[in-house]
Amino acid sequence: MISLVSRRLASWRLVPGLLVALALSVGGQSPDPNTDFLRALGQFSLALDGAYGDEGHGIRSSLESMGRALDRWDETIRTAEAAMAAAVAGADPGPAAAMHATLGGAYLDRGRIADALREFTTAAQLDPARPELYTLQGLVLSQGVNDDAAATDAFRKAAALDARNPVRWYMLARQLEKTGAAEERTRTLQTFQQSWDQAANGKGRSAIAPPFSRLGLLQEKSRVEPFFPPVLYAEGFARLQRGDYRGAIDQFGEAAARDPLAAAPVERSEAMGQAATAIRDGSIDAAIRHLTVAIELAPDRAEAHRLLGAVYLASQQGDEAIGELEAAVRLSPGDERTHLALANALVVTGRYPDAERSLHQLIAVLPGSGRARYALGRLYQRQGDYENALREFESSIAFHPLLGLNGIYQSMGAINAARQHFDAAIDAYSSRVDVHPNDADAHQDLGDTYLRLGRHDEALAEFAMTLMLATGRAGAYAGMAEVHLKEGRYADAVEASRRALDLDGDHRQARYSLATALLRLGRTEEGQTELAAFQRLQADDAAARARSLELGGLKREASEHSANGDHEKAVALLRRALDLEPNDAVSHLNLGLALLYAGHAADAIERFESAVALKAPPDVHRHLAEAYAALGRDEDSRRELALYQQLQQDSLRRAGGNR
Amino acid sequence: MTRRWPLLRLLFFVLTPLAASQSPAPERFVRFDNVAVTAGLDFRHVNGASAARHLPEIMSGGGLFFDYDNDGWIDLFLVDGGSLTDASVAARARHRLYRNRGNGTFEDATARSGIQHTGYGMGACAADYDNDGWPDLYVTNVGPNVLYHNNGGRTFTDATRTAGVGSRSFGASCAFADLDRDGDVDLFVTNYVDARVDNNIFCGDTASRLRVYCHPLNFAPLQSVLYRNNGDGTFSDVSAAAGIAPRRGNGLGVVIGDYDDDGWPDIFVANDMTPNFLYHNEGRAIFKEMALAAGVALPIDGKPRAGMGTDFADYNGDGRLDLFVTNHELEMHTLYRNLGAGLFADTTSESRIGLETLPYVGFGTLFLDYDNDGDLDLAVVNGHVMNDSGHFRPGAKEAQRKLLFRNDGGGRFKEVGRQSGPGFAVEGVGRALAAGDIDNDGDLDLMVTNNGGMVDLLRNDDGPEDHSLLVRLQGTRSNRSAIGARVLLTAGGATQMREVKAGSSYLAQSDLRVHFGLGRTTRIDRLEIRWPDGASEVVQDVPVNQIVSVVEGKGITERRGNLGMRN
Repeated sequence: MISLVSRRLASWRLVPGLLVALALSVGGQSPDPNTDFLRALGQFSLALDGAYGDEGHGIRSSLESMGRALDRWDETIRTAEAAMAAAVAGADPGPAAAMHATLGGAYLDRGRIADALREFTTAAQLDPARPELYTLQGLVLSQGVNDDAAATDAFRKAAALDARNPVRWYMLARQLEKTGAAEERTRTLQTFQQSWDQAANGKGRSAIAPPFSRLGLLQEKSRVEPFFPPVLYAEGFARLQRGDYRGAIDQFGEAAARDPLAAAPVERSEAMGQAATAIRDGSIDAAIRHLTVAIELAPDRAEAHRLLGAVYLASQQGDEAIGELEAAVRLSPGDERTHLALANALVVTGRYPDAERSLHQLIAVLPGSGRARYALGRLYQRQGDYENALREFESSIAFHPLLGLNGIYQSMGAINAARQHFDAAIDAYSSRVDVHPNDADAHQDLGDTYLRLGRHDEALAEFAMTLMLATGRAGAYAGMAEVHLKEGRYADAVEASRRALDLDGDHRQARYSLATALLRLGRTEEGQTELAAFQRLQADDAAARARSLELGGLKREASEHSANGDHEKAVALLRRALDLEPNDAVSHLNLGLALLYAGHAADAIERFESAVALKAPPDVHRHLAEAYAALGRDEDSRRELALYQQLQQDSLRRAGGNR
Repeated sequence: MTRRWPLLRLLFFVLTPLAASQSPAPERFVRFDNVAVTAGLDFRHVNGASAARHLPEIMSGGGLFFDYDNDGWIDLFLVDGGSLTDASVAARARHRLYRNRGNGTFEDATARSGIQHTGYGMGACAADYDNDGWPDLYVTNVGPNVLYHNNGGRTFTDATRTAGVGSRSFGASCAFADLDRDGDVDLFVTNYVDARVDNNIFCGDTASRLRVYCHPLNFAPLQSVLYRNNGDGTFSDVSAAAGIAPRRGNGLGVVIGDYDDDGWPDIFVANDMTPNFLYHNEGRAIFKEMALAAGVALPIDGKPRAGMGTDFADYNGDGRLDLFVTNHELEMHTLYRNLGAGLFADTTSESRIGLETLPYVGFGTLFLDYDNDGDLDLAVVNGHVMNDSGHFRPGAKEAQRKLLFRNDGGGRFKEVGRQSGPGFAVEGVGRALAAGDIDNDGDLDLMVTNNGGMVDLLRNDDGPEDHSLLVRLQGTRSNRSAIGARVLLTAGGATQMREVKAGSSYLAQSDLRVHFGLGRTTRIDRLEIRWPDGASEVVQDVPVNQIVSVVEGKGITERRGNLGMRN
């Protein structure tokens, strides 16, 4: 997650002597001060979730760690500045440029944008033949100071100096998209494609290290839930994103002083501490007991209600959870964490209108809650209300999630694509590429959408970028093959299809493209062979689809009969389903249930045991307990119930540990 | 619209050089008005929609244009559905035969025609199967199909049993053509899926008790049927011998045309979610399925689509039959350009058709020159198959608008439905689409059926004042309806090609008369007819703005020009 700029520059050969000093600031070994700073920031951010209720100490200590790391970080930069001042005077232009560039990278990580730009500019003046300097200038100009014209110029220079490097052309093309220079962009995309072809053919097709950098403390990651700064701490996170790290720590400290989660230990009861320990251990009953005591001791403290609600929810006691969380909201109507927990409980229990109302109340109280906006977007999306979902996602972006922005754009792109709003989908997917340019999936999705719109040059560029980041993507080659087929470049289509099939011999689209391209080229015999292979794949698909549809139908009908109390019919249908899919744990479980309700407890036990062997969800033990009880085997029943409760606790503990 | 030719306009044409017709024209739009009610068409389709969600309920609604009484004015036949669950609803269903009075109105001639409603109706096609000079009628059903013999343009007699064409499956579209070129028309019928009443599974969400119409892949596909005309009023089911029967697909649309110019008519079947079939006629009605090799089984991405309606025509003027297939929403309807040598290329995206069709569930479709500018445009009617489509995709509606793609040359189309008058703006659950010149004014009008709704009759009004020609063919050695004849018209330096088809689109058939738009061209240089038996006949000095009748071997036998409506 750490910014890549310094690390990339650190690999540049520097003059002896200076290297040691600069390595302290930018070397990337752990523990170095910026890594320490980020680690402490991560701990601080996670603690703000307040999952256990005893995070106050963690919040305070991580803030102290951030402060100490920042002191060391600034000190190493000062050391580097002094070392460079001494060394750069007599250095040749090349090494001097390297020193300036390295220092610029250190400034960039530290959020000192203007200083970084100055150093990169000086470096470029000293050694104007180095394309990476212009790329860095371009990054700072486009992302740091929003000077798109100057950024475009910088990317242009980088591409001209390093014409065989497709990444430089790609970056220029993306920058040109911002400035609306359509013709130059088209030319640039074509040049990118040529350089990609040459690079790919020359080097083989190994993936390159993540080639793109983004300014900022943290780099995006795929498939993470967005992290929105809590409202109470929002100003601190905003300062962090502006590069004012020290101001951020100060604000975090002030916010923590107002945060009930971070209240001093003296203000917290012993019962609350015991409850936190119980939650960490996954001991639900104990946690409930301690929290109940805490509430009896201080009934007007919202925190105990909030935690009790969370524990109830984890133990699937939805109504009790909602009751406690509502009490917590009443006691602390301005607490974002509590509101969100209530909304989550309402969602989990399927009370969507109440959840929506709850989130709107939160937004009314705390308009700055990005979390509420995002949660509302997800809620609308879950209900198929895509228009409102898009609006809320769009709103949430304005609250600058620290991480996970790419996921929001991904959702927006997918929703827009499903609604056939392809221009909007392209905007969203394009923004996703901007914030997470090293994500192959982002490029593939953008390429697929361009392909759908018939924007072939752009589609090819995105597929090529996908393959630079992840060489094993058969889908990207298949997409390229489709573009070539549509453009009548049959030989290219054959090559791209074959590459896709090298990666995935069962890739239907690639096999079909290959066959079609061969037939178009008049290579009829080869084409027919490929068509035959494609037909075999199709036949497999048809058989699987038919089986799946039949299974689905049987399960639906069984469910229908069960709902109507006709368990014998459900049993018959589920037996047929199991004939088709003998290793489906859920079908075994459902058959067990149908047998149990039909009065065949012994047979039900057999099915439940099969479900256990196939790793069915923990619920199966609860049902086993019921079946044993029905047969009067009380000891077995108690054993299964205990096992069920144990599994529930483990699950809760894991959930806590994963936070 | 009624044509008048004032002196000024004639002068204009005389003084305007031919090249003017090739210069970029300002954008013009044709107005279509839905005149169904004023024309006397009071047909409302009975789909029998039920809680049991039987698949035919959302698929039915066929119709066709044919001149059953040979009076020169095309008439209309509409297929009613029925009910698979409720006898009282089923009793309300009634096919309708509307006779064109020639004055802009139709009279309901059903009662005296002898046409009865049986089973659950789907589609229809018409041709003169016994070469007696009167077009006969075939109706597909869920259950036994019915053949009506035309008794001299007044009444019809159920000849199904005698003819032996009462396929009892889930019939969909049908088409007549002389597949073995023996001088009489054979019959091809697509069958859909095995969704019998006693095979109606539950689809939907059991938890919320939401029952929906099943996806067709929930049912077993069926085989199409080919009936060979024995020339004595009877047919034989030759599906197996002809190479049709081994194939099973979810057949819906069918169109017959000679795509490889070998003189033998070929058959294309649009299948719903299974690869399409292209039966290449190897000669004498022995077929080889070639869709995959030809590139029309699947679109370019190799994924099966929900094929519904279809049509063959030469949209780019290269003399080869191209192909269009309508599909489900989010799939794009597919345009295949004929490359020659038996190959097609999916040109959906570059033709600019793809994106425009994405939101629609397409059914009836046809190529037509609606603006008489000399190139073939494309019309599509749409309508969802979900009873509660918005539940599955926000914004999706059951009733959908129609699409009209104007051929802008260079292989590209522009969707102009929204600019084409109130008739095109009407949303409906569109199924069948057929074209024909109902008022003999030289431009093509449209008939659209709507599942569970009123029929639309879209009269082509206020159109551009370009010229046209209608050609009515009559075979002598070839089949009497001249189905399969290819007509090549050369004018203004360009040659247009049409084939006579009896069955295309979806559950539908258009006017058998061949229509040519001529733009500003006032002179037809050559009219060549390649008759189904292989003989070629060239007709010279054909006037524009006429309806001409050409009898095989005798040339033009009748000309009707400047036709207005009869009062």
